[in-house]
Amino acid sequence: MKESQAPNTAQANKLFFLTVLLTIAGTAIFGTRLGMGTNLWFNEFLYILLPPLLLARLRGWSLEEVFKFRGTSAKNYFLSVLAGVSLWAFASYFANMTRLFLDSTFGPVNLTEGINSLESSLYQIVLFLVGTVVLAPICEEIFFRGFVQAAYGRYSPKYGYVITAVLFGAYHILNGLSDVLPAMILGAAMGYLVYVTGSLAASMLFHATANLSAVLSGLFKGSISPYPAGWVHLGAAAALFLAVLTLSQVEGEPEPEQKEPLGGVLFLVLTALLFTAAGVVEILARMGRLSF
Amino acid sequence: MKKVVFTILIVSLAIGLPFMVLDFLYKGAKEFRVPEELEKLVVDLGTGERDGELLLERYLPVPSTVELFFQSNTEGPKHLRLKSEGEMLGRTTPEVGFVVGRYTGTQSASASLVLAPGRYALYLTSGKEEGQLIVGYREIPIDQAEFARLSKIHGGDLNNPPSGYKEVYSAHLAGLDAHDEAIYTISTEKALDLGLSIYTSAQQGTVSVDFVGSTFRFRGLVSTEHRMCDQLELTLPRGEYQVKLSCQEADGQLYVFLKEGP
Repeated sequence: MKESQAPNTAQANKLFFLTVLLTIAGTAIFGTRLGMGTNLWFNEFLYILLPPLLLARLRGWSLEEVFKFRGTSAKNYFLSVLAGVSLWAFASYFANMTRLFLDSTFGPVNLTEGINSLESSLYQIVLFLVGTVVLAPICEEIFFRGFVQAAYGRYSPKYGYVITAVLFGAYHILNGLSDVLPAMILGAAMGYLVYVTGSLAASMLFHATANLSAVLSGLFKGSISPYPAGWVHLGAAAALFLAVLTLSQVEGEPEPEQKEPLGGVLFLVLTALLFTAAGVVEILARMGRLSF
Repeated sequence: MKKVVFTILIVSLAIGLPFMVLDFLYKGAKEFRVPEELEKLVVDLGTGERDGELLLERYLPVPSTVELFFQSNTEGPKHLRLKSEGEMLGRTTPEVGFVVGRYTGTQSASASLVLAPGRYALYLTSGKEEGQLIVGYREIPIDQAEFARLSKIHGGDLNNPPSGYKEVYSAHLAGLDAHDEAIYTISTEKALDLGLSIYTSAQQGTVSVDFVGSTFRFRGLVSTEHRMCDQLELTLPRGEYQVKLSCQEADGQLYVFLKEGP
């Protein structure tokens, strides 16, 4: 791949910083006014999908080549769905355990007027569901696995998808500290799928399956105790085992990439500062020193 | 695959955008929209039950038209009663009641009353609910000559239409038996400004005058129970419209006056 036909880490870090900034500012300014569902659509379309597509248009990149807009085998699709369900089950368990730890260490998050005022009309609920199950898997996969991973694949051909997974997990700090590590785990699996199959379709399917599982499980959330029984720990371990086994069966050959130096470090540091600030705000809120 | 992805995104947008617009309209509809020119009184319904609690007391030094407007964001019925010391023209008793439900956005209960000088007061009976009742009100002094004309009608001298109105129907109601009978028909080929003024002195039996178009029906413009007169001013699209009368075992008289044009 020629240099002008693929993103580099400097571009990825700048755009990632811009996306994080837009997401934070957009949600803070418009979140309560737009409503939960519409705000998610704004995030996905305007702040996550649009920047890499515009850059690709400006640079004349081929979406098929650079962002891996390609299909894969039926077997890989099936394995993606299976891995999506099983790894989501483990990630969900992990998120719950992290939340319990944070609750017991720093105190629970008290959602007051600001959050509760996100009125949920039927329209907002539909927008949120479509945004979660359809838009997020497409837009976030194009940005993270299509764009960022393509750039980091040139910095670290073997572990580019792992670095991307770390960034993907860190981005989820905006949903809460407890979502960071589970998102990293899911991001690593999706990155691996793209790395091995060379297909963004596989990771989109995985992402959609995991998000659909989260939505469906949300229907029963009120009736399930957050404190897991003994079998839940075993079930989570089994789900993780199944996910690893499934992913190991995925077929494909990683594409060779030329190693390049890291660029845009300043923007990476600035993004890390934004994430740190978001984490500190949540800890302070949990400790009762800040209220929303 | 590119085609599939972009098709999904475009279809999602085509479905999602109308939902966003509908949600925006839905949110707007949940707000109180009290006309700016009205004084506003906000009642917190969450503080407890009310049984005829005095909300508002005013004194009118001159005859006035009192405009009232009510909205609430709670489901339960809020019973409001306005009592006037002086006469309430067009009504057999100087008091009027309103029942207000969940009325927000463009929904409201409202009235325009012509009151003689004196004190008037508004009372509320309601249950305890988290939410508010908004009362909008305004007093507009009425011209003495106009008040004199309305007072004549109120006193039973019905043949006193406003300037520019002509009589299109009058009848002694005693012995008249009518069931939704068209007493006047207007047919117009173009948009028409129409004024309709109806008075009755009936105090017994049943009297109801309706104004009916192909898409609407103003019911009970006058009735024996409490409303002696009513006046409508409308801009009508082309079509046919009828004034209809229902009347059984009534007494008194009925007059219908009409004005075409501004």
